[in-house]
This record gives sequence, structure tokens and C-alpha cells, in this order.
Amino acid sequence: MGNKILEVSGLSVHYGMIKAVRGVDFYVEQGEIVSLIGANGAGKSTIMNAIMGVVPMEGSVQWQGEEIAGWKPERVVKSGITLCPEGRLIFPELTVEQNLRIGAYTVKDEAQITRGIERAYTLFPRLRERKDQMGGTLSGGEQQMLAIGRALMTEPKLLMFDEPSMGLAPLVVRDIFSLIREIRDEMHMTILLVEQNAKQALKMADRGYILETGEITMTDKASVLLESDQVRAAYLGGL
Amino acid sequence: MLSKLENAIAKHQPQVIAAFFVLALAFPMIMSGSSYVMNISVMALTYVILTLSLNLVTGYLGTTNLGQAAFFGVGAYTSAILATKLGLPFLLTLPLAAVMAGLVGMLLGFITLRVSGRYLSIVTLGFCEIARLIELNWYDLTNGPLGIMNIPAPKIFGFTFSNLMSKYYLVLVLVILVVIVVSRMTQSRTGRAISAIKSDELVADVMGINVKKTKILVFVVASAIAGLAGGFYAHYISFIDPTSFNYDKSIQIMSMAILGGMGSIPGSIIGAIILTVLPELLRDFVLLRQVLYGVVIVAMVLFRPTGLLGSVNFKHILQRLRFHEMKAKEGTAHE
Repeated sequence: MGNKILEVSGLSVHYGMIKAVRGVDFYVEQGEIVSLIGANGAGKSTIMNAIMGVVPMEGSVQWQGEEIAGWKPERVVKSGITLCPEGRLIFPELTVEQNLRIGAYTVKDEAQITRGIERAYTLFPRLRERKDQMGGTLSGGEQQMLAIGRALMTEPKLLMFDEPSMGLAPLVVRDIFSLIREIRDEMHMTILLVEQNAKQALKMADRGYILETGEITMTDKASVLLESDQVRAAYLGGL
Repeated sequence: MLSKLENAIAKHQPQVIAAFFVLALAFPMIMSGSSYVMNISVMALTYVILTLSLNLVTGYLGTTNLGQAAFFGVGAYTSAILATKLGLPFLLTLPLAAVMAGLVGMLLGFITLRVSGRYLSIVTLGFCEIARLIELNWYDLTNGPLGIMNIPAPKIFGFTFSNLMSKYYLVLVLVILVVIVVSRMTQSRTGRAISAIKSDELVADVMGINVKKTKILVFVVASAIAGLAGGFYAHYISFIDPTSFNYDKSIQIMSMAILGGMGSIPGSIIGAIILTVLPELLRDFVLLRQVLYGVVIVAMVLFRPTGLLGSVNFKHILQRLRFHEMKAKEGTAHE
């Protein structure tokens, strides 16, 4: 602990005239689960996409002491960062197994690929049953399982989740979140996740950041944020 | 009824392929070398190659390309010029036709990275027109509207493919070669990347797929294949002029791909054959040829947007059948 594996400073993204993210600073320590909480349009997905190198950004992203801002996605993935994208976004025209293989696109080591596929099937036996089925024919929960299995294929050091709870039934959401904790504990990964579902995300996380219209307005330990009146009023339905 | 046929084909896939292969081999004998039939057959197989090449870009990658005829033309002109002006042998002109078309395809690939959707279609359309205008106006090189005459028949190691039957077998070999290349490419790691890009470029990017490189690769390979068809065509027909490679031709290839089914190799083959043979059968209405292509596109889009075979995946039909068989067996075991 205490080792900042990812440190983002002054990150800004424009979409034309619109500033989606305005000078955001945050960091993630080795082995932590960090949640970025924010409503729709707060800029959460944009931050993830900027770190991946899919959208052009200003500012700095220090990854394991190296500046990776401006890197191509391919290089970012190879350096040990994987994003599990929003809305699951598995590839509907590929089979379950092909989807997993796509997750390992940057992996040359055939043994790692086999291990990854086996890991996905062990985590989610349902996927093994459906391994030759087209991704598009899976249920929402199954697609999320596939997306997670696919994200694990690269055996990343930092795994980023973009709204893993989106569109899922509350029970499934709980399973997914407890699984994310398990992944962190057992595979020694570091996890950064963005969520609208503030309560669930903060319950699971070590620390959190509150994002509003492209700026970070609050940060603390997740347990403190959960108790904060301000956060409760804004995100937890004033409970 | 159709699904029963599909099931039967799925179960006996290797046999069906073998049967088609034997039929293709024996076809000239069956037709006792009728030159009319053989001419149409050679053209049909040339269109099979062109349709497969378009399928790679449009069916698998999902990029609407209305300029595929341009690469056919580049290939044809390359081999025609090399053969008539420099006297190069067929064994060199054919691969060079593919290489040249591939290089031009790379150029178009770079341009198309910047646009998408209908804008891209317009760019490819314009590209086809530019190619035609160059062919028409670069008089010194292409002989302009007069075209290039006396292109020698294909000749390999002293054997001249002078009669129609030998040309038929030559193009058949090319078809088989192209089928192997396309099926290998689409079923490989690159094939998965292509499919991923088609579904969602952003997510493909996030997976670490080099989207630009993959797209350009597809353009290069597809264009090279079309160029190969062009190289063969020039030597086969012995005379080429710019009218053979215009926009109409692109639409013709597109209708073949749409009829057969996007993203399906057997579909491309069947679509190209049907739309080469059908206009011949309707010779009396030759003026309606373009109308026929239009009607085919409209009808398919309305009634079967995936084409004849675009949504038919024999591998999955087979899996489903096996699954049902297994269930049936389990059922009897319990009784």
C-alpha cells in the first residue's frame, strides 16, 4: 500500500466546444478499489476512455511511474491496463469463446489465452455451457459475465470497470460487485471503477471520488463518503 | 422446407463441398465444351472472385464500398499494360496486377479511415470515377477510350490457355485460392478483430486491436483480390477499355454480394453465379439488365436483408442439431 500505481493530474477532455472533463486529479494505489461516482454526463466514461487513449486528452497520466498520456490503446493495454466497457459491449456476432479470445488480442502467449478462457469458464460455468453461442444471444447478466471474463484475459495490473451495474437486476449487481472484490483479492489486481450506483460502489470500494459536471468535488474513504450528508443527498436518495 | 435443406447441408457439409467441387470440375465435360456456356461460366467465376473481394470489405468489415470495380480495372490495366508494352509473362503480370491493386487499395484505405457511413460510400464512389477518368484520359499509358487490344492469352511454363476449357480451369484455380485466403483470413485472429471492428470500433480499440492497421489490411487484401480478377480478365478477354470498370460494374458486384449474403463465402459464390447466369437467360430483355440488379437489391433489402445465405451459419446449425440429438438420446435413456 501507499504506492500510487496510477496518478492522473489535470486531465481535461473536450468534445468540440464542450468541455466534458475539466482538470481532474486522482490517484489509485496498488491493490486498491477506487470508485469514481457521478451522475449521467459527469464525464466518468470519458475519463476511462482518455486513460485508454481512445479519446484525445490534455494533462498527465502517470502509470507505474511512466507518462502514458497520448499512448495508443494497443500500447496502453499491453502495459497492463484493461477496460471493461460500459453497457457490456461484447461482440454480438462472435461466439462466447471468440469474444474471450478477442480480449486476449494483445496476448501472444497461447498458454495465457488457454488459462484465461479456463478462468472465465470456472468463474462463470454458464459461459462454458454457451461457449459456441453468439455473444448477442446471451442475457444481460451473462453478457456482463462475458465482459468480465474477457477483461481478465490480459491479466491486467489495473482493471477499470465502466458502470458494471448498468441495466442489471439488483441481485445480479450484488453478485458482480462481490466478484470484483474477489478478483482484486485473489488475482492481486488494482481496480478503478466508475458508477452511478453510488451506494453499491462505495460499499465495495476503499476510496471514492465524487465527480460533478467534469470536476471532482469530493474525495475520501468510501466509508466516509457513504456517511456524508452531501453524498447521501445527491446520490443515495437522501436515505 | 428451407430450414430442412439447411439442416441437411449442415449435416453433410464436407460432402456438399466435395459435390460442388466435382460438379465444377466436370462442368465443361457435361456441357461438352459449349463455347457459349463456357464463356458465361468463366465470367461467372470471375465475378465470384470480385464478389468475394467486396464481401471482405463490406460483409466482414462492414464498410460499404461502391468502388470495387476500380480495383478490378487497376488489375486489368496493370496486367494489360505490362503484357503488351513490356512483354512480361502472365506469371508476372497476374501477381503484379494484384500487387498494384493492393497498393491502390491501401491508398483508399488511408482515405477511408477519416470518414464513415454514407460519406465513406460517396468517397468510394468518387474513387471509382477517378480511376475511370484516369483510364480514359491517360492516353499514353492506357490508350484512352480506344482501350488496349491484343492482350495475349494466359501462358504458364509454355502452356497457353488458348481454349475456353483451359481458361475455365485456370479461373477455377484462382477461385479456390481466393476462397482459401478469404476463409483463412476471416476465421483467424485477424478475422475476429475484423468482426469486432464491425460491431464497435471503440470497444475494438479498447481491446487493444489496432483498428487502423486492421482496416487497411482488409482494404489491401480485398483490393488485391479484385486486382487478381482484373489481371485474369484482361488476359482472358484480350481487350479492355474503361467502360468495363465503371460505376455500373461496382453496383453489379454489390448486388451479387447482397443477393448471396454479406459475410458468407458460399453466399458470394451463389450470388455471383445467379446474377451472371440470370441476365443471360433473359437475353431478350437485355436492356433491363440494370433494372434487374436494382430490383434484386430492393427486393433483398425488403424481404431478406441478410441475403440468401448471409444469416445461415452451417456450423451453428450443426451444433444445434447435435444438441437436439443429444437431448433426444437423453430422453430415450430416461424412459
